[in-house]
Amino acid sequence: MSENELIAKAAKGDISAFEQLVADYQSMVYNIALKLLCNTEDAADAAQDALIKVYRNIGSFNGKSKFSTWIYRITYNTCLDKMRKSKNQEYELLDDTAVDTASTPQSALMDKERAQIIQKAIYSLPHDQKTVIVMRDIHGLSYDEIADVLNCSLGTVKSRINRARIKLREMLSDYLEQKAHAKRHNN
Amino acid sequence: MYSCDDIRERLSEYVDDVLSPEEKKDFEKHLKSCQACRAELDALKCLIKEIKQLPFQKLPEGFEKQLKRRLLAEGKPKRYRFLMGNWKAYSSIAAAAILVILLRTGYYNVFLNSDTAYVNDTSLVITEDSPDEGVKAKKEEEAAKSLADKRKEPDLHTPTPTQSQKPNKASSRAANTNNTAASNIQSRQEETNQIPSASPDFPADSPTEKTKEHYESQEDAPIEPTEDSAPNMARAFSVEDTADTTINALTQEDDSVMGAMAEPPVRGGASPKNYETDNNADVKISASEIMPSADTGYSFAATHDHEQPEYVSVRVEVEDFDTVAENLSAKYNKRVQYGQLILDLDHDDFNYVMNYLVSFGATVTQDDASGDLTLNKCTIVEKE
Repeated sequence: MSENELIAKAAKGDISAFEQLVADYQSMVYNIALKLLCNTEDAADAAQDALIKVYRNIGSFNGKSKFSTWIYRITYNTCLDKMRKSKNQEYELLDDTAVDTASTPQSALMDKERAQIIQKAIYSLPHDQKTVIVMRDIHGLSYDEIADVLNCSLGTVKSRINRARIKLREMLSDYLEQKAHAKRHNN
Repeated sequence: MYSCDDIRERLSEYVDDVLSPEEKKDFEKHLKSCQACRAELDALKCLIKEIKQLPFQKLPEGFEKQLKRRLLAEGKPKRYRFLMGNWKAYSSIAAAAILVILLRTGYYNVFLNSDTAYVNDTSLVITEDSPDEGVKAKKEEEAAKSLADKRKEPDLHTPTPTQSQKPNKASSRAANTNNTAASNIQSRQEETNQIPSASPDFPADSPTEKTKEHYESQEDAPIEPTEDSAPNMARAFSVEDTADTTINALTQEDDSVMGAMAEPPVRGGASPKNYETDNNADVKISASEIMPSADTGYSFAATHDHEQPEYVSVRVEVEDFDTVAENLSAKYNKRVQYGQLILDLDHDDFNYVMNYLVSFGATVTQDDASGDLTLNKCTIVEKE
């Protein structure tokens, strides 16, 4: 069944069609929330709330943007709301059970350490910069899609991405230099 | 030719390939000759690669089960019968519906004798199949009853059992067949009538030179909330240059019976100037909004004015004001003052903003500042 057919069915209250429709997006929604909220519990709550909002309002989806962008926008707004309500700005580093990319214990450790260093840097970015990095570099949204989600101009997106990356580079300069050094050494 | 600072300021755009071909060419020319910028480029690419390699986290245990539980408790999604973004279509429906309400309630008379009058937050159609539908149905029933009582006032209404049109006469008729309500308002205006026709369109889309228009809606079934509905709606409301004005509003809901519509009341007192005859359907209905509202599905506002305003002024209450304000103030370079964000918008931006506000439970009411506006004025406030 095509995405449009599933959307039409879900709009009539077909819950299994909706589940099928969002099966591929659930992980994306949760991971956006995780990156923006920096807290697994809040992220799970926000992801649930966002998906329920998607269900409630699926009838208003008009196809002007991609369905994924639409879901992204709802998730982003839900996270913003959550962030405002939650005064707890502390982030927790993700527990190791959640990471599932490593093939050996050693590389798992390295991956985990690397992920923590980079995630920590991303978390500490100002909110607007963190948002664009999550959208662009983690989820691969185009500049136009980001402008659409954030309801801002393309110029704003460009400058935010650039500023965010410059800031990340500054924060990660030691780590990146080490990497570059190791690379040169190996060569 | 770019300087190193220029290059570094826009290096991300180069990496993401969003530069124009000319810019890209200049960039590459500079990079070829500048080792420092090349090193910057490499570092940036390395950073992006590192970020991209961040692992996705698995969904927490029980996430899907909990979602299912919540979905089952939700009931059916909201039904969106009007397509956001199609102003012509839904402002036409709004205009027709407002006219129906006015005619049926006898307030027509009031409007003809005053410069400005307003109908705000009028519930147009209740379409949701949500759990609280019973309550809504009951409210509707009460409202219908109250309207029916008003219709009984003999001095305001004269039944007109025909749809045929006669010069200088406005006739109206409503059909109430089982659960479908229809109203037809037909009027004819003289060629010399100085007042613009009862077009609810925005000026940009409106054939302002026309004094005769034809609006027709022929939908028998509820509009499915799919993307395909837009063209249907556009077709349903055709605008033709005919000598008669017909507004035909059909409400298709099973439970939203409008009842028989009464004849427009006979206007008392002297006719306002510019109106040639007593019975012309000369109420101006200006742009209206239909937006989802948390309570009713749609709220709806319209202005009746002898002068059709070029632009409208609306007050929009939203649930998440801070988010809305943050996004819109950046986009339109406006600041929040005294808890409200005021935007002056052309029709495209207005349409865009209204669409955007839908996802924040926007309730829209139109205010009376329409007279001297040079752009659409949109005042956004936090919903109480």
